[in-house]
Amino acid sequence: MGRILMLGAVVLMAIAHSARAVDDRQACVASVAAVRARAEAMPQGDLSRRFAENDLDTALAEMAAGDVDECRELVARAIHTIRVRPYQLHPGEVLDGHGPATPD
Amino acid sequence: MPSFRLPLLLTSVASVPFGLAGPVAAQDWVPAKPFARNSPYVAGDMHNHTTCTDGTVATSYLLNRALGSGTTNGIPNFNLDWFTHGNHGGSGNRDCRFSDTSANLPGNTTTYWTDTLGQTIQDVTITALKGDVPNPPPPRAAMYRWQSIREVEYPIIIAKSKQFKKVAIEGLESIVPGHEHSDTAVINGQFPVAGVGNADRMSEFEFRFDRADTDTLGPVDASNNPVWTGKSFDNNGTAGHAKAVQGVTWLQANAPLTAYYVPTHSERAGPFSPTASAGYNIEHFRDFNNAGPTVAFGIESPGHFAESNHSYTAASSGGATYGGGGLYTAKVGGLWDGMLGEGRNFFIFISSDWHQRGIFGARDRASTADFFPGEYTRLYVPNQSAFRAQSVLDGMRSGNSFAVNGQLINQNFAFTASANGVTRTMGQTLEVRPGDTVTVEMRMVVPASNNSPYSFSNPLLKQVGVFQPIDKPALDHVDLITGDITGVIAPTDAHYAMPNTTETVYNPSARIAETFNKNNSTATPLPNGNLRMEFTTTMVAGSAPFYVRARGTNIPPATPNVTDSQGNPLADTNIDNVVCDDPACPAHLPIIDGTRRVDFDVEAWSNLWFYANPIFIRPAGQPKLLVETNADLAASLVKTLSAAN
Repeated sequence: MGRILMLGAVVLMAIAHSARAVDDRQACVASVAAVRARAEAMPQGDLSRRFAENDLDTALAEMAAGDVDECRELVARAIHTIRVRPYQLHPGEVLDGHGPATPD
Repeated sequence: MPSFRLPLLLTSVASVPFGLAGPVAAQDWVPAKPFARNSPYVAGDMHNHTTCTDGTVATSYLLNRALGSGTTNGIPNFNLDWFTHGNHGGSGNRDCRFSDTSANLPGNTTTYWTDTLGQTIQDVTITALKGDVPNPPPPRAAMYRWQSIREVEYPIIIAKSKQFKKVAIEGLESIVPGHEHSDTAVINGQFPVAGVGNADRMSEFEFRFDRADTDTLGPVDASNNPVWTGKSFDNNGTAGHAKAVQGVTWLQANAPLTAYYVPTHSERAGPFSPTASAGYNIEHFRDFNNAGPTVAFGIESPGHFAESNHSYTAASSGGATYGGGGLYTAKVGGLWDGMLGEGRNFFIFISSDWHQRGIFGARDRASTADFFPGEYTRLYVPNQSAFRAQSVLDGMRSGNSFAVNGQLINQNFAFTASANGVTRTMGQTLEVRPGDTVTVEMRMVVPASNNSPYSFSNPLLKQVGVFQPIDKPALDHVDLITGDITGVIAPTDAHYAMPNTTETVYNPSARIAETFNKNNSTATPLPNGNLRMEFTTTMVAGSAPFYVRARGTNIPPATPNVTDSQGNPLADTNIDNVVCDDPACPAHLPIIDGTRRVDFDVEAWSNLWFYANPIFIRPAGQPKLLVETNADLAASLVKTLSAAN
């Protein structure tokens, strides 16, 4: 009887944990969507937009891997990037990733 | 000094002491890497990610880049000697036999487990997502990591190990109850003497002790009964820490020579919280080392070396990184010195924490986030005539290891202390008499160039009138750091738990005892363009035990925004003040007040450090240090386990 009660308690704790995790994940997905809409309002070639969108993509990957804290931090960083726009290309400047000279 | 002394010395000190090797494990496909190549140490990485969790590339692609040599379609590989896959615990909804669309690899688009069920890909067939409930809910249900560790990653890693004829291990970056993360590996079963291996013990550890693994079920037997019972869900605060200690205890009981537990980026989540999952204080590392004397023997510095501030925020312990290292590592008299001041076997390791290249693709050489394993950071352990997975663990446990960023030095390294005809190296203890002269020697080779894609003048050095191409770094100086050993602090001692602040001094005796630079060392150009540097100094042994450790850098003392007048690294956030004004400065650097500033990969390649683990010196007749008794324990376990087998 005691074993059944203990097992039940573990399952209830796990269910509570899972329910909280689902809520956190849904909140993360919603905030990513909201910030992404702001990023997409920026010009297509804007370098700060590229940084922000990368952070939002990573936030979703973190969320899917269960790291909701990391998701929140990346969303906050994307908001900062959209607001401050610290990454800009000067006229005529090209982003160079030092990658392969020709795409495969 | 005759040049033939270098390989002789290196050969003698790099070997793990006889008797410390763990159980035999067959990896006959891995040939020995001969000393003839001057490889007293071999380079590896133990912390890296794929699309199985929050990374961007496939498992096979990661190993191709880390273990491959030369180039593939013009893309450089990084030719590591050994590799441990340290992916997060928890779950992941992407199929890590494919890279993410964001990696920009031809033919790869983000693929989910639900897209590929029942298909055989890379000789791996997944027919079902196991565990209690799909997590998160469909349509993109995730695979719990206990399943992907043993059913996906492990077989791919063994296949790649055979392909490259190099050691590859299935490990884990555990998400620790009560804390942040810890690099872990359990190699039990992975390399059987005969037959097919498995990563079941690694998988079981993840299921039982990873706080992100919310599964209540785990694998089941033929009657559908759980195989791994008794899992606790006390995952936060003080109760979470107790569960973490239980995890270390489990490793010590089940894998005392075949596991490690190394907390990583251990400052990032700030001080410990008794009610949440946050960072680590010194007492937690003491708890781990007490519970796992042969498995919990150190911490790892941050990783994420191309990311702005290396992923540390103002809320981290120390508020930033320092020369790319965390405060616990970088501060003289700080947490590391506190642990060494007890005589503990507590060593520093560094790895890549590879996830992605930020706004760039996986084939680009620029990065605003991480570097591939071996591209920037290399963790060196001793070479052996038959280097095996066990050699990685034995080398790490021994403390005879060092870690290097940006290829500032290479594998040809020796750091020794000698007295009365006896020589000891990192992790070992030299027994002396009070008044004895201890001779400390260091020999290293600075490569002619590194993997940096940039060749403009290092903007940090430019501030002090030094014009040094970023891709051709020079070693400016090496600090020998000493500290007194005053004995193990008991858990009941009032000083066992200490405040965790940037200002906390854990070992007030720690100091920079001597600094070596071009003025007091010998530099010998080598035919291949590399530079051999060597220096020797003496210390007089007193009546108390002490240790000597080392760090080196390309940055002179008193470099504005980078080092203080003693040569200590300043908070890396100060580097935001340094302008990158060379016309070749890349366009992805941030613009602050109208000027481009040093950040991301440019900062990483500009600010290089290495850390060498300590040598302990103890007066004869005094009780053995904990580092010695724990090494003795490992040696006795070898005998016990060998007899049992």
